[in-house]
Amino acid sequence: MIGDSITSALYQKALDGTWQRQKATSNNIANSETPGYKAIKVNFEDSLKAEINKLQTTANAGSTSFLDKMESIQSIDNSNINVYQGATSSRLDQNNVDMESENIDMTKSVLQYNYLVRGVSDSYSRLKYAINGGK
Amino acid sequence: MFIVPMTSIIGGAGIGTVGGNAVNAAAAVDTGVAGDFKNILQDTINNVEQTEAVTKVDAYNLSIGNMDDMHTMMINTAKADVALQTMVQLRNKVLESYQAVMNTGL
Amino acid sequence: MSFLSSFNISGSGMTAQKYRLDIVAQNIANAQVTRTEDGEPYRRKMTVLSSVNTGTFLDALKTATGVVQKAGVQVEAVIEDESALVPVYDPTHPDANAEGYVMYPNVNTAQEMTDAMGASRAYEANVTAFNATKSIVLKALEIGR
Repeated sequence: MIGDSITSALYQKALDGTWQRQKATSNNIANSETPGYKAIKVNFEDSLKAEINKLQTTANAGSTSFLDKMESIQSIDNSNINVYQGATSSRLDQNNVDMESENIDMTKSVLQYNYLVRGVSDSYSRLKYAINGGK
Repeated sequence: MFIVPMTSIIGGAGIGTVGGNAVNAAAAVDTGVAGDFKNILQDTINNVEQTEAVTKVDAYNLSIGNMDDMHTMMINTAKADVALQTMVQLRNKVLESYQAVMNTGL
Repeated sequence: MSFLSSFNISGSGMTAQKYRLDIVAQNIANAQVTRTEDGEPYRRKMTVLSSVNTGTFLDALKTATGVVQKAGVQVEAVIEDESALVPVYDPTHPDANAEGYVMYPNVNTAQEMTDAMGASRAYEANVTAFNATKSIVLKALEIGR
């Protein structure tokens, strides 16, 4: 499909993951004083990297030409978003939300989302520019 | 008089990296026969239909308030945009070339 | 409904913290009440917070388009602090017991102020999270512009 390139699939996955991370951070901050609550963390980068690395065989090791293959898109779609909670806490109320870490995650999510939006938006406007013959 | 289907002079690798026509690209690379222009046009029209269907579902979900991730909806809109513009430009180019052919003196 | 229900997560946090502040205000206001409607001295109230729907929230996070129905925090109950009341020797008081002691509420002003500060900081953190979510959602509008 036009517009369904590797770049677009990567951006879509990253945007999904970052949005989920922001939701998890919101929930952690809302529950920062709830006894027994364990912080929820979201990780999509590791799965994405693992899926892409599977395409990197010994034949094309060291190059990034596998990023041009169409089957990379399927790999990217296959990568999943890992959601996990810690199990231990050192606080008396068994809550392990670390406010500093949540604030840092929140700032990073906002910035990452902004850059990703800019990236995806620019890739589509480049495509449109090419389609319209430079007008 | 009828239009003879164009045989692609670009070949497999060119169309393939645009990312829009894996089928034709694969066929061209494998068999050495260039993709059919008619197939490309048909693929473009199918793209438009698919992307429009997705935006219709998005519009429904948005209207009943069943939407949580906004970026997917915006990306689907951008894809529909690109698909439609591709089809329109393709149509324009076909018409231009038809006019050019008709205008050649015999 | 579930449109941008992710805002409700931070909203629930703000509501819960504001409730905690209300309880703190009530405790401080009633710190000297030796006789409530049921004849007993006022006992310090505490809120019990619990998280909402964490299980379904986790599942919704795993699927990228899972819609979050209801998540966040809620005030599950308001319970009374069962620690000992403060006896003060004052035989002339109308509420004095047989030995001349008046039982005052177990409200410790310093602890209440600490709770109030904690609740107000948590409220601010939820406001910051809300604003971050809002900026993300507004940014998504710019895709394709």
